[in-house]
Amino acid sequence: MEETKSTISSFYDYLGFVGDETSETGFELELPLNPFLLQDDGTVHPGVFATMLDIMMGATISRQTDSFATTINLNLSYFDLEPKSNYTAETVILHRDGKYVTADGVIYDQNKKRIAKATGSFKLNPKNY
Amino acid sequence: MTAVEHKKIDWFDKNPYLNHLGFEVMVQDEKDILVKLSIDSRHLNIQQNLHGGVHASMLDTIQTVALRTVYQTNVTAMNLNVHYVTGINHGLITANARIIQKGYKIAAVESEIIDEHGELIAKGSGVYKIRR
Repeated sequence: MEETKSTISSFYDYLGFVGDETSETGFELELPLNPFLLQDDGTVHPGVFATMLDIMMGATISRQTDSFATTINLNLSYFDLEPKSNYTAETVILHRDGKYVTADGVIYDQNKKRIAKATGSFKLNPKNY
Repeated sequence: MTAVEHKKIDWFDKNPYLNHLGFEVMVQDEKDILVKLSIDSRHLNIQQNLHGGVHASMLDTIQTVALRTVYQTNVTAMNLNVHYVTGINHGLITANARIIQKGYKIAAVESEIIDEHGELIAKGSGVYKIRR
């Protein structure tokens, strides 16, 4: 269930996301590697990437549709859980059918290597209801 | 009546992310493992609902605990599919998991999160690599 307008939420802050930049062309999100994002074996918890992709896709959909986007489903693939110094994410809206939107999101490391990917289904809700 | 004794999982307590989110684990045996979370304000999104990242984190965690308990070795997530069923913003939620494919190098698990009244909050499934 993802927020949409500015992506500033308690959980967003709690995981340490920064670089919430708004532009005409899209939405940029960065995640510095904080020690509390790691697991006991030193890898990044997959939930961190799920969170980043959910935020990123929800925010992008919200911006492009001027609605809140509620997550219905997320299908995530993880490629590399070893810690990197910095992460960025990109989103593409694949399809819209009335109140329902499908989007893709990809996370890259500082070398633009693909780290994780998600496809999500979202329901649009008016912002003023 | 005596209280049910729950086994400890050492690695769970040493996992910074799980501690940061406030997850607790309760284990009786391989088939009776639960991960619990008391929802508070830090877990919410701007709409004041439980953030979707928390559901995903919790489902991955219970699936990992189930596999690590059975295989007695670490596992790596390859895929996670999350269905968000019911919104929630307070109270205690509980996750459980069931291993549906137990291979030598790959395993598949399904899981769910329910609230205190037994209502389904989210459903998950995932594929994991067994580190041997």
